[in-house]
Amino acid sequence: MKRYLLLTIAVVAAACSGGDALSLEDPWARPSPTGATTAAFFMTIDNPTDTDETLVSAATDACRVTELHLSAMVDGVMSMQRQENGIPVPASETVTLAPGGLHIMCIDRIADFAEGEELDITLEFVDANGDSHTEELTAVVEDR
Amino acid sequence: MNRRLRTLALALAAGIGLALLVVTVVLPRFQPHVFSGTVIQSQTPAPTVDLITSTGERASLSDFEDQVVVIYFGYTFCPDVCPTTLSTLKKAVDKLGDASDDVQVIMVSVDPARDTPELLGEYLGFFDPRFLGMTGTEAEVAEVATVYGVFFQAEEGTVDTGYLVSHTANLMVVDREGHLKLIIPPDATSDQIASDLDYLL
Repeated sequence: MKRYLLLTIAVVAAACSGGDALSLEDPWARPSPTGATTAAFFMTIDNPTDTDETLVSAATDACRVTELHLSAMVDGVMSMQRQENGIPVPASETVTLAPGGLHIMCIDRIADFAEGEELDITLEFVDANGDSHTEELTAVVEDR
Repeated sequence: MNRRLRTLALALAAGIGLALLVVTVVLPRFQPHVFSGTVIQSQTPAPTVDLITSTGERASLSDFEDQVVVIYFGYTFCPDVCPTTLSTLKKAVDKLGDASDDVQVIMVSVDPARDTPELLGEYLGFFDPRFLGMTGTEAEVAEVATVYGVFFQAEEGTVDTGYLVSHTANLMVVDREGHLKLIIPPDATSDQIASDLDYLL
């Protein structure tokens, strides 16, 4: 009995302390229409750690400029709000960048955002202690 | 006794089968269509849209008589919502099969300063060559937007990144009789849009 109790405590402790790193899942972008100069990247950011993180910037050779944006519907009007203070990813939470919401806006795209293309992006995060780190990922271009 | 029981069981099974058929196949056909968009009961014809098309000529709403017209207000510099909506619209129209010949999708530019007819044609052609762009002077576009209850406003931008335009992102659907019939929200799925358009056709 005592052994089981200890085992339970160990399992619960392992589950609560969470993983040790951010995970970036399913990065993608919509194919860009001919003539369009902008595009957007989407993904899911999971923060299993005990430390709050903030996505502060993104960089990619696929675009001249990237900005963090939120498409928000206010009184039926869709407007884009630049996330000046970054996108917070609190400890033990998952934040999804998806169409009609948070996204990484690509301004003056350089790469061809054609179906099946793979585009490298570097994301910069700053954690609650003020330490910054970068994450590399590859987004796939597909129509969803 | 045994035989009677078997007959009873068979009759019961047949009864259940028939009931299932009625509930799943027959009844839905007699149910009224439930629109995913908001229905407008307009007695007067939809306000005209008289602008320059992406093919270079001037056109107005009456040129699409007897077609169901889907009007969307958007712009080509739009990174997220417009391509998402146009991609959904393309999927919806494709689901209609041959009936899609009687649907005309029009995107009126809320950014006439940057969206030339050529650029609109190139942009919309990517989604579907049948989609038509429309633009005009700032005043002409503003007039059309106003009569459709559409708000748009260029936001402050920078020389480096350009500016974004806030805009009403609903789809306006004009029926075959030329009346504004439906307002579909931008988060509608392609199935919902296809179902509404199919009903209007």
